[in-house]
Amino acid sequence: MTVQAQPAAGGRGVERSDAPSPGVHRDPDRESGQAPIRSWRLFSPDILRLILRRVAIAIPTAVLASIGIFVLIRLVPGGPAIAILGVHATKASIAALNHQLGLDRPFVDQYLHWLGQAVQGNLGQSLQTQQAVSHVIAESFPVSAELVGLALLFTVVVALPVGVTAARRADGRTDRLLRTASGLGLAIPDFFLAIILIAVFGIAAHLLPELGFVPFGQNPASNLDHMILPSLSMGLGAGAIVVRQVRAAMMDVLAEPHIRTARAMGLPERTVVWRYALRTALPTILNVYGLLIVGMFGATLIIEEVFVLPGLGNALVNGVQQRDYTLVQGVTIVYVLLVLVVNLLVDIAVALASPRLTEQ
Amino acid sequence: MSARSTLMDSASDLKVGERATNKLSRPRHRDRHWSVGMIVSVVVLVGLLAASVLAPVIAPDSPISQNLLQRNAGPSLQHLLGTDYYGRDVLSRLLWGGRSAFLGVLLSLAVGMVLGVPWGLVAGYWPRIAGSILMRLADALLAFPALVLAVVVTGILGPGLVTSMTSVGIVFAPVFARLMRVGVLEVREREFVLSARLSGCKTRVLLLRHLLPAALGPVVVQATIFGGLAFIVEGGLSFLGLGVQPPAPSWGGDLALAYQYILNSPGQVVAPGALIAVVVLCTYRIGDWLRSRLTLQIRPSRGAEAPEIIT
Repeated sequence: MTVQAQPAAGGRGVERSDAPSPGVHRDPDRESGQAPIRSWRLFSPDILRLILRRVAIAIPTAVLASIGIFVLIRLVPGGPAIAILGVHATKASIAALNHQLGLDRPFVDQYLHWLGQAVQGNLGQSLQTQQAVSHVIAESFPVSAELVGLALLFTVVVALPVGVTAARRADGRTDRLLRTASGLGLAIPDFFLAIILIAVFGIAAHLLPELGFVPFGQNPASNLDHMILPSLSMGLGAGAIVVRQVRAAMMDVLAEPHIRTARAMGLPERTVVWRYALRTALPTILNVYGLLIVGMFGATLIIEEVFVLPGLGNALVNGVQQRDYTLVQGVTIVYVLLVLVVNLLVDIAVALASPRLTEQ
Repeated sequence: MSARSTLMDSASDLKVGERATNKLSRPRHRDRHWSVGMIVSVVVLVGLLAASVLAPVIAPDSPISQNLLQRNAGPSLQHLLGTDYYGRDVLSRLLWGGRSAFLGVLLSLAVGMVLGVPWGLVAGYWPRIAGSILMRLADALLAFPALVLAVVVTGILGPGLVTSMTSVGIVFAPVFARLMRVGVLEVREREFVLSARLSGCKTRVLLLRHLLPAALGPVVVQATIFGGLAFIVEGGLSFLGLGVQPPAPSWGGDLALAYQYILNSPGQVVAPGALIAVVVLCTYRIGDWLRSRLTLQIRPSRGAEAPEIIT
């Protein structure tokens, strides 16, 4: 319900087009049940073309988004100088600081200069701590990535199979129970869920550490201990989405003729569901995951605040609260790149999972 | 064909329960009619809205008057839900907090619609140049994780309920624009639009009287679902200290305060968090029902749904 991945994305509309991609063998009806439906080829011309096209679309988007951020930050009432020096600053000191920050130059100059530096990995200095922004990002990004990665792992290992099970028993008691549970999972805000988990597992039961972060390199076991609750509080909500979406996608697929054929041929139900149906539903599911990953990186803003994790989201929230504009600018650009990369990877994965969509 | 019939449906009347004559869509009978859950959702939501609107009248106490001698008190006749860390009446704070929650959500939806609907209308009607420029802009906005954009824009506008929920509306706008555009692109090819155009209908009238209502259905459904999401985001932004500014009451802000002192009195976190969850649950439920009622097939284009899963 939260993500509307209707089958169109996964290829319902194109499903029946009888134009197999070059070099791809697909014709499930003719295959014996056990043979692989198709071979996975990463560097076929189709895929390369797709990558090139997506990159060609992504670059202007990234530039436009970075211009947007640049403009926005310069729209701050009074500009960053007032934010740094306070409202009582003299005109002379504001002018001096603006000059020092390069804010008195023409906008296009500033942007091109910034872009030139950014491409080389220099995103400027934090206004508050004087640290290089790229350094802050390099320090904090792995924390967020670990958090999102673990939450994602949870949704794949737990929520995905649950969604498939729900689809198999559509409208049965299990299904209804799961639907209610996932409805709840969608509605409970993740920060509230996080607090509940902290109260139950951390404070009441003393099972897990509540707050803080231990670098993986320092103590892997303790690092994971500290990551369980944060990733769980993100993964449960995301899992609810996965359950619903996978259920819907699988129900669509299970009603298709090729599944009926597979069943009629006497294949074990397990093979039919987990192998043939799931594979057909895979493009849709991958698209859901693309949206989910982006959403999770957004959610790190709040979850990292709750658990006091020194991640990218925390850096951004602190930057916004302390009006550290260079930091905000740099971190935001990283988020934009992250989204574009995730989208690209998902597009490639979808193309690999369903060759007939490649040319769409 | 499905898209056609559904668009017709939504165009003709939002309230009418006539189903799209679409044999391909699997009927979900349980969702289509007024179920118990649906009635409960509407009643709860309307009740909470009424209680929030009437907060100045029915709240037993001022939401910000402190009584430091009575901190973290349990429920009593004087304070039905007890008092918080500063000795303020919890029930009164929740009621007043509901005001800002409902207000903020409506504000964000209004901003999103006011920006997004004309955006999509223009982009759909003049798809070549204006459309591609406008949609590029939408792509750029959708390249941010929604919460990141909301937080950054709030940081620039300055924290507060109005600024934070306005920026949430800005996040919603490109999604509405996309849905609107898809609808307009579909509808503008239909006969009634053609005949209106042939009979010399002015562009403005064509856009506002013919295309707008016909393409608005999916946007309305999306807005309902975004309404639920907006409650979560409002709570989240207030939780981060970017929304409603303390000591003014808000569910998210009260949750943050209760969380800060969770070791002193863990029970305080329950009420504000649970209220958000209940409101969101009811709103989603209504959105779901609306969607299945209209048998809408909202086309997924990547990113169009991205902001739906931001928290």
